[in-house]
Amino acid sequence: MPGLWRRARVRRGVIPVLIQENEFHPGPDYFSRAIRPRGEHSLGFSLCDFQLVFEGFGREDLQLLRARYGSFVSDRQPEGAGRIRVVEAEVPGFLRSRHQESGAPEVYRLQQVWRGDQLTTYAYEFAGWFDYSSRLGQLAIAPAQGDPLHRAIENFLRAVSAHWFLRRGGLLIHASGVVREGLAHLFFGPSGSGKTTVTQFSADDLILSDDLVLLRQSNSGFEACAVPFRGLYREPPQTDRAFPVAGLYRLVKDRDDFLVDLPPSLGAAELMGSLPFVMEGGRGGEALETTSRIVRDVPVRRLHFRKSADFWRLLQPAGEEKE
Amino acid sequence: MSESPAAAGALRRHPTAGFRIFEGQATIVMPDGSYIHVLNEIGSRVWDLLNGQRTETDIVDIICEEFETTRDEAEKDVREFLAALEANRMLG
Repeated sequence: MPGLWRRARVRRGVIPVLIQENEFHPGPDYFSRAIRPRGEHSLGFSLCDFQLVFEGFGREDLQLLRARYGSFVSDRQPEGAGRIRVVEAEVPGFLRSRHQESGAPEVYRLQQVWRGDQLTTYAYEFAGWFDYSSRLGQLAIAPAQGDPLHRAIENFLRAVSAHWFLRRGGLLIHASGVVREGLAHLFFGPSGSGKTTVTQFSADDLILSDDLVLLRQSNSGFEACAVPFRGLYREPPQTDRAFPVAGLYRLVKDRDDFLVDLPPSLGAAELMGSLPFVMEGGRGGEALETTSRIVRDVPVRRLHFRKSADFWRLLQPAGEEKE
Repeated sequence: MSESPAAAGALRRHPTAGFRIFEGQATIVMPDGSYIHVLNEIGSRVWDLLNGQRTETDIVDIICEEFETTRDEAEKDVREFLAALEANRMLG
């Protein structure tokens, strides 16, 4: 009867962080004071159709970022690209890690504040803003956090790009993505559900990511695209192409391999539970609209799987098993 | 027996609640985005009826007409359901 319903908690983050003493919440005036660039070099990032040029990196920054992000970065500065000024934070850091009841440091915490079309976002090691109308922004990186530079860049990019894609009818999903026979299979679920494991059992396939995948609409349907973010998987994505989506699978570790079709209501809920950043600040309604279109076109299933590659037999048409 | 807080007048969903009804089942997201709610068929019908034009009694009448249930059972379940919505700040 009607008193029963299901609730899915939205994922907040999974990256352990270092601890510092004082928390600093940057207001609008902070960014007008933090203006000293880290260096004089620029680097372009390309995330599917989202182009950003970061200005103000040091020479060492460039080497680190090129090594990590490969084909996702270049010296190109395409017309219409957003521009981000990279500056020294001038403060030791921003948020500080709070201990949970268990005594363990909290999982990664990231704040988002909207003023009109401008998103300000900050965590432990960075604070930044991006204006979605002017496509201008700023990123202040704390010097003494001990975190790698890429973590600051990457977490800023994750938040900014998630909203960018949502505004264009796409979703950045906390999922691993594997391309087999030209079709993308997206595996999602909370941390520990097996996203990285699935990629490890797909060694001969093209791995889009084991952490975040962009799902966007094209003229021929929904397609998956790699973004330069990854979890435990060591290699960066080897392609920036987009692939038609064969299916979305909510991972469940089990003793047997089997699939369960999800009704659209549950499929949408499960999917929204794996959307980082965009469910906060009153934007869940937009995410629901996009998710609704996806579950109409793409099957959402629960994939129960053992720790082996056998689950792939369930995901391929009968008679087309891969040797 | 105490009435649910909003039982005296017309009831409505919280105006900031985002929802879609898929094949008779509602998926709801509230502004803080912490939880996503999925209602069963009857809960979804009640949710759909919470348009600011109907009282609890009106809703019970409709549920009795549309579903195979007794009046007592419908009253009890609708009352509990509305109380749960209120507790989750899903009424406006």
